[in-house]
Amino acid sequence: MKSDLAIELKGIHKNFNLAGPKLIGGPKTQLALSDLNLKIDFGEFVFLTGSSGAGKTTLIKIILGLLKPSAGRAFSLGTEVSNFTLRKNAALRRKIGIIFQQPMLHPNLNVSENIELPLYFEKISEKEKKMRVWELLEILGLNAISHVPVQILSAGEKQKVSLARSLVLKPKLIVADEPTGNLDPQSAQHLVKLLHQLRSFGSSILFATHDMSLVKSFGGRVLELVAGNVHQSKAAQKRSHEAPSFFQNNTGELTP
Amino acid sequence: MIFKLSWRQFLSRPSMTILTLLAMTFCLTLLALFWNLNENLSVTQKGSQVQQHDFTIFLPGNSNEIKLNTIKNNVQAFHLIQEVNHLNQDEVDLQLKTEFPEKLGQMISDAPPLQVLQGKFTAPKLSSDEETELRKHLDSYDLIIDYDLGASPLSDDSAQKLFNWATLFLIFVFCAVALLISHLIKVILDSGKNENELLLLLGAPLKLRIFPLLTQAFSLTTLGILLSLGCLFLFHDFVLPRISAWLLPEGTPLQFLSFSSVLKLSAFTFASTLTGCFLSWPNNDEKIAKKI
Repeated sequence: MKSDLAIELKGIHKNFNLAGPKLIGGPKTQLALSDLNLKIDFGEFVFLTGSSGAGKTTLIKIILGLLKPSAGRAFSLGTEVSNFTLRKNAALRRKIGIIFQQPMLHPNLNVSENIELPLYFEKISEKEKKMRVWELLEILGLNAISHVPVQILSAGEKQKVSLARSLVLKPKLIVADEPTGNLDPQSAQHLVKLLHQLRSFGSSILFATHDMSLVKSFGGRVLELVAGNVHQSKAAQKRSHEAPSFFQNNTGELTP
Repeated sequence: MIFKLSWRQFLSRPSMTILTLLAMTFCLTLLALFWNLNENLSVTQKGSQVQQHDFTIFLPGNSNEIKLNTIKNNVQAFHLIQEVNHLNQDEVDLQLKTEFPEKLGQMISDAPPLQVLQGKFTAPKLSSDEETELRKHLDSYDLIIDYDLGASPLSDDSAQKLFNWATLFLIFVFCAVALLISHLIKVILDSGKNENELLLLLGAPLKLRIFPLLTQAFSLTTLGILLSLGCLFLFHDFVLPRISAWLLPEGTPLQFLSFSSVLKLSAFTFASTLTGCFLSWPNNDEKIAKKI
């Protein structure tokens, strides 16, 4: 079975086995997600909010095929990910731009090599590789530090490199798990602004955050995770109608 | 990129790489030394078996030719003996000098002359019953002063048991080194696990994840083997000649590790390395997913 949506979740349940000695009669599992249904179309920018421990990261891991749901079916870019393991879903993750809370850069590679890394997962010509990396360095203002080892970068710079790496394969789906967690408000705004502009390329973006000020600044569809299930946030939804694409230009180009 | 990743991974932790290499070299040198010792023991044991063919009978110097021939014919008639020859005095002196060099040889050669008969057994080895039977036969001749059946200070069984001990000891060293090498490889590969798991999370194909690990492991192993053989060579050619008089009986031949043993040692080391690689391969998906 396939799906025509960027993300489609049907009746997702996720329980975690509790580690350590269990109390007699106490719960043996903890419910993280309960009967969760979600559809995200291509070209949508969706904020995923919720308090810490609400299950945002769990939901994202299921979408990326890193975790198997206890029940239900999950589709990413039209492919079912709920039946396979982390290894089997590797090919699908190449098509998804992933931005983690921690930038998770390869410590043995410099800035441009880190950005270039996913290009080696696919058959792309050397010329094309150089071109794409150069473009992203330019857009994200990383030109000056392109040959710098990533260990000495600031948190904001690392997150920019992580963003560039997630974009280099021109993914149709970008999943960001609290990427602004370690950034100052200005850098956070800048990062979301860049992601927001990607809508013009038809990419879907799922952006998990608990920073409501950021959500209010940009609008778009907002989903709130409460007790393992998704609720539409009406206030933000209203805001999203007020400013549907604040930073988007109509030329289809990204502006730094 | 695949070579860049492999090379950078190899160089990323220099102190750990050097320590692993030294530990691996030490372990392999130890194993190579035992292996070499075992090989030399094996050669020496085979050599001693060949020498057992000869026996010597000592008769008084004043024995006349008739008596000598009678003894010679009687001994030769015994079913375990193939042939007996009479040695003239020059041959006796030469043999004494060869077997007992310097002072001991001089002392023996200065003693009253003896008539010596030397012969060969029909079989390469005598059983203990056959040896007893022969001894009884030789003891029955009053004219025979003494005899030497050419047996080594240890019986064949004892020598074989000692050799078995050496082989058993080699097997223990072998197992210990195999476990240590696997462990060393696992430890150094585990130190780069985060990089490998990052590649897995980003969806890197298997070859891009496995190649840097294998390159690191097998480069270390190759260097370890070469260094250990170098150490063995130095020990064999420079250290052993200086201490051989203190350690070994004079004239004991010592060979370097044979080519087939070098190949076996290398194959064994690579197999241990492969085991280490296999054990360090990330196999717990949930643990990897939790790192995000």
